[in-house]
Amino acid sequence: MINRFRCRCLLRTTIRKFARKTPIANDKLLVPDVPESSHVDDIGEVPSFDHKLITHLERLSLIRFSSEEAVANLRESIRIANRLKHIDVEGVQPMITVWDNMECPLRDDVLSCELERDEVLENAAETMEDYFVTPPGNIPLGAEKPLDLKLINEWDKLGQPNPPDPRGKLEVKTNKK
Amino acid sequence: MERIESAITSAIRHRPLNALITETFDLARHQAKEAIKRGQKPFPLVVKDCYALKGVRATCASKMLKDYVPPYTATSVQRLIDSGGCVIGKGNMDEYSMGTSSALGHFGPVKNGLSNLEKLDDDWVVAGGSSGGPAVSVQMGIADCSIGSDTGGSVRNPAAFTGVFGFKPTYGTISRYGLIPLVNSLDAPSIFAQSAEECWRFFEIAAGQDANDSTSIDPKTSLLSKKLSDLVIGIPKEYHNESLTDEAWQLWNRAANILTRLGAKVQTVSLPLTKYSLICYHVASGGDIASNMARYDSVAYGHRSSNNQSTFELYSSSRTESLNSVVKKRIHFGNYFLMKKHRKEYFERALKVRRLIAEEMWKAFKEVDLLLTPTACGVAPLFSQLHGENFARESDDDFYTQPVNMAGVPAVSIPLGTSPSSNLPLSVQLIGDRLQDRLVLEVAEQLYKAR
Repeated sequence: MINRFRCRCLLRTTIRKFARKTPIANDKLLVPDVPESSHVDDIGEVPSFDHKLITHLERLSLIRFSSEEAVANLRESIRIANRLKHIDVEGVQPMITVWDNMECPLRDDVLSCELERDEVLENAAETMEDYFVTPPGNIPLGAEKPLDLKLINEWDKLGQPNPPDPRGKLEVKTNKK
Repeated sequence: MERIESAITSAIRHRPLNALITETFDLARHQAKEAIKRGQKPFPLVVKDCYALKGVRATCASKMLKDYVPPYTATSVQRLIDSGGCVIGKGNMDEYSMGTSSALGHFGPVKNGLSNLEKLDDDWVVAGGSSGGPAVSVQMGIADCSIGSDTGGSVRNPAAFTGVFGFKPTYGTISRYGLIPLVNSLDAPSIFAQSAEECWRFFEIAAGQDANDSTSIDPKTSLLSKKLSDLVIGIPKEYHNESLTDEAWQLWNRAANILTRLGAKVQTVSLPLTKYSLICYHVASGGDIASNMARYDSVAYGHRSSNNQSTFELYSSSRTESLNSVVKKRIHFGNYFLMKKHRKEYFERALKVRRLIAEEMWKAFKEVDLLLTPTACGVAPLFSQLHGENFARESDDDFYTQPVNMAGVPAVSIPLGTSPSSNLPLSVQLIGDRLQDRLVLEVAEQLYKAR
C-alpha cells in the first residue's frame, strides 16, 4: 500500500517536472515548451575505500578527513565523475586554456624588486631573524585513528547526512579600517 | 563626495545583511579626495574579498587567511581606483569562492537584501554565490560597481538572485593578477552594476592586457556593428531541463518575444553536451583546486596550528583547522583525480571533454550571434530550503551558468522580471562569442529597456 503511494508520488513529481510550460498571455511560443532531461546515468563502479587509501589521500592533501561522511562524499564525487565515461574522447586533445591557439606574450627580462624583505615576512605567524620557521621535516604524516570503513562504503544505506549550518554560530566581528 | 558618504551610510544601515567582511570607509574618503583632485567623479566600489588591496586584509572568507594583509593591489582593482573608484569595503563571499550561496564562509552568511529583516537570524533569502557580498552591495546602494570573480557562475548567479546586472567578460580580458585563484583557466574577474551600460563603463576601465598576467588579452571595444534586426538569437533547447521553474521559463520566453519585437530573429539550437558540463567542471576544477590550495601551508602566511610535531603535521593541522568542509572536500577529490593511477581516467578525460564542450558552444556562434538562456532555475531560495535539501539546489542553478566558463565566452545576467508569487527577481542570460563583450551588453541594454 505504502509502496504504491510512493510510486504514485514519484510519478506525479516526474509528470510535473516534465510538464509542458505555458507562455505568459499574448507571448508567442518561442522557447521549447517541453523540458529535456539533463539526467546522466551512472556508469562503472566506485571502488571501496580502505585505510591505506584514506591515509594516502590525507598525505597528498595534507588535510584530515573529519568524519566518515567526508570520505563518503568523496566516493559520491567519484560516482559523479564516472559519468564522463559516456563521452567518446578518442583523438581529442586536452584543453588547458581557451586561448591555446594564441601566442603567449613575453615580457622583457628586466630585473624588478617588487617587495621589501619586511613585506615578504610580515604575514608569517612565526619568523626568526628574517627566516621562515618550520618544525623538523621529512617525516611522513602519520595515520589517524581509523574511520569506520563499513559506514563509508555503505553510506547510502547507513549514513545520516549532516549539512553545514551557519545559524546559531557566534558572528565573527568585522573590522573597520 | 556625497555619493561616497551615502554609500557609507548604506553600508552601516545594511550591516545585518553581512555583505562586507572588512569596512574601509576612511580609505574610501581618502580615495575620493584624491579622485576629485585628479578631476574625476568618485564612485563607490566594493571588492570581493579574494582580491588583493594593499594594506587591507584579504580573507577569501576563510579562517586560513583571516589576518592576511597583501603587500600589493590587484591590477583590476587598481585600475578602477585610478578612475575614481573608492573602496567602501571587501565583499563577503563563499569561502575561497567555492559555493553558490555565500552562506558558509568564516565570517558568516551574506543575506539577500530582500530577506525578511525581522527574522534574519533564523532564516533569510539566499544571496547567491560565490560573490554574494559584492552583489548585495550593488543591490543596496553600498556600491555603484562591485568587482567579483566568476568561475562557474559566481557573479551571474548572485546578480540574478539580487536583481542586479552581473557581467562575466571574455576570459582574459580583465587581468587576474591579484585575484586569489580558484581555477586559473576558468576564473574571470567580473562586474556588478545597476545597468548594462554601467557594466560596460566599468569593464572598459578594468580590462586590457597586463604585463603581470600572461593569460590576459585586450578586449574589442568597437561599436555595435550589427543592428538588432540583423541579429539571430539562439535558444539552446537543453537549457529547458527538468529543474527549470514555470516562472523562469516564462520570463525566458518573454525575453525571446521582446527580442523578436525589436527586430531580431530567434531560432532553437542544440548543445547536447550541456548536461556534462557541470560534471566536467567538477573533475577539472578539482585538479586545479588541489593544486592552488597547496600553497596554504601556514609558513609564509595563513593560519598556523600549534601542532609542531613535524612539518607535515603542522601543515596538515593548520589546513584541517582553518578550511571549511566545502574546501576540504574539493581538495580531497581533486587529489584523488590527480593520483597517478587515476589521472588519465579522470583529470585528462575531463580536460578533453572540456574541449568538446567549448567547441560545441563556439560552433553554435557560427549559426547565431547570441544565445539566450535562463540564469538560474528560479528565484532565490530561503536558506532553510537550501539547507534542508543538503545544498542540492546549488548544482541545479550552476547548470545554466557553468558551460559559459568552459568556453571562455562573455555572458551577462539581466534582471528582466519579478516573480509574481514571491516578488523576488528573475533573470535571463545573454551569451556571446569570445570578444563579443560589447555586443552582449548592448543587446542586454536594449532588451532591458524594452521589458
